[in-house]
Amino acid sequence: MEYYMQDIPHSDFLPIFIVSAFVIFFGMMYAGFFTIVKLRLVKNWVMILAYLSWLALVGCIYYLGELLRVEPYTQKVLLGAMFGYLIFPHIVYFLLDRVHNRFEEANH
Amino acid sequence: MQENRLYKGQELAIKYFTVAIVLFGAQLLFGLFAAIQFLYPDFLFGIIDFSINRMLHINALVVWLLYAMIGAVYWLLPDEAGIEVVGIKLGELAFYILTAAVTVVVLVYLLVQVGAGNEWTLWLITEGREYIEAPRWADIGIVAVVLVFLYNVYATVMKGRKTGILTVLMADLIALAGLYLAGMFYTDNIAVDQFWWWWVVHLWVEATWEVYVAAVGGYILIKTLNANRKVVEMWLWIEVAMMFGSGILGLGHHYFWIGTPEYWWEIGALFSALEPVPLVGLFVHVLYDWGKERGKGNTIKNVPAFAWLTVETFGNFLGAGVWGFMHTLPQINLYTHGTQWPAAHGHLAFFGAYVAIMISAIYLAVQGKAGLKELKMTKAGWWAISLITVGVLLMTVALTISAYVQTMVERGMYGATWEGYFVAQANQWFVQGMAWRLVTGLMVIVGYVFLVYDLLTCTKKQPAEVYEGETATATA
Repeated sequence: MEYYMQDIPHSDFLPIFIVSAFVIFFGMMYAGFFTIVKLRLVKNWVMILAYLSWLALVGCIYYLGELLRVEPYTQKVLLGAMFGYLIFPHIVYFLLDRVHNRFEEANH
Repeated sequence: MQENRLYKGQELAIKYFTVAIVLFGAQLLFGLFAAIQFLYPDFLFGIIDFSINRMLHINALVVWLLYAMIGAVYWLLPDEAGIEVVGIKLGELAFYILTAAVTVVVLVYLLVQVGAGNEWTLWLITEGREYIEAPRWADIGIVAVVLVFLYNVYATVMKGRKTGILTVLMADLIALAGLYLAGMFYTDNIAVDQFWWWWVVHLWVEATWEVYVAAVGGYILIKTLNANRKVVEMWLWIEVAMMFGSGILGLGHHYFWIGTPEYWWEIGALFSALEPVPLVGLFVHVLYDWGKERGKGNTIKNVPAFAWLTVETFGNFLGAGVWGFMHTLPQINLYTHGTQWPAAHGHLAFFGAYVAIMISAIYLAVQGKAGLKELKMTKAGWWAISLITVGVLLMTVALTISAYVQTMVERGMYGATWEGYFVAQANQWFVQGMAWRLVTGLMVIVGYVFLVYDLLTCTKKQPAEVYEGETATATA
């Protein structure tokens, strides 16, 4: 069935703007907490905050999709992308770790 | 304090930076006129039309950023490559030609503000494409100048040291220059024409400029913090890889307006939201390295440049990331497009992502020109960065309030009708938002005055220990 963009009632405008902002905010919080824990700038338990941020991000994306009345297929793609975002910092850290080790070995 | 010995390429960079700062002032001046005209439409009526003010405001922005970008490349090129810029005389000639062309184009904009549009208009006055409105003769001139610039870069790198930063820049500059060609031809079908026009500015700001910023930002971090080159360059490659996703696919969030398939909407929205991630990652990692080195007596070598780079990182995240994503998904962009939403996003994103880092690069040149080992922040420097940054942030908030009124009243309640447009324009919240935008604009202009003053005088107001550490050459 072909999907057509749905009208959005203006009472939903404000929640859309706020939830959209939170998508970016929680996305950055997840990456930020993950980074500072991996760089050993804070204690390991802070990683919980990273994953809580990721969960909040998923919730915001889901709610944003509802508010925007996106088609069900897109909703699934967006949530799938969130799992991609979950593993993305791990891949980056893995690469960084390898590079550091290589240079440190080369320096000794 | 004696003048430092610089490469010819770096002397040329200073010329580019000087014109960039002058054009920055012109951008602010015409922006101020336009902001006043929003509140008092009679202001300068018949002398400078609002459409001309706006055009000069945004074109001056693009042109001064390009001047500063070219300047930054001429500054770092001989330093990175370890040799003088190859073909520097040609580069100098190109600078004067470009500056003369920009002057003529601006004069024509001011002298021929209204009139019939025909084929000659495209060639001699304006092409009418937002952000890149230069007439075709100037377009061709710009291409010639950029070819000289690319020759300078490529020939120098081929002959000199080939660093990771230069390699990324070489690839990026080809894409940056090549994209300009997409906005040079005209098609009768406005939808097709807009399709190509989108490519120029949007693949600039969301792909090639971002990579450029990462490369120059990496160079600034190496210079200001003694950051580990290998780490900086590795992040640079990640940035390039991410640009294929976030920049090129991210462009899809604009495709709603040009008739491409619907699947582009979500692809575009998702990937464009990821754009600031690599830059923030680069910054966090380098800060970490600096923190480790600090205990060994490693200080910030150029505090103003580093402070502006910090503004760049967070400004990019807030302006491009948060303010972009708030209104850019097509389902909501249907209601926000053409309101003050894009203006709010555009002001903070351009400032955060590009203006701040170019000012940072200019401070690096100021330090290099004076031959100082370190450059501390002066009082005028603090006033400049505080007034400009807070001014732009508050301006963004003011524009967002006006935008929200337009979205609710004009688009939501009145269904984007002619009547709705005027009702929203008269709404007191909208008008007050516009008034605060003017106030915050004045704040930015005062900050600009401090900035110019500081750039001209900061090297003479450094603490004694900085002079003791003067270097033999800035390029060492």
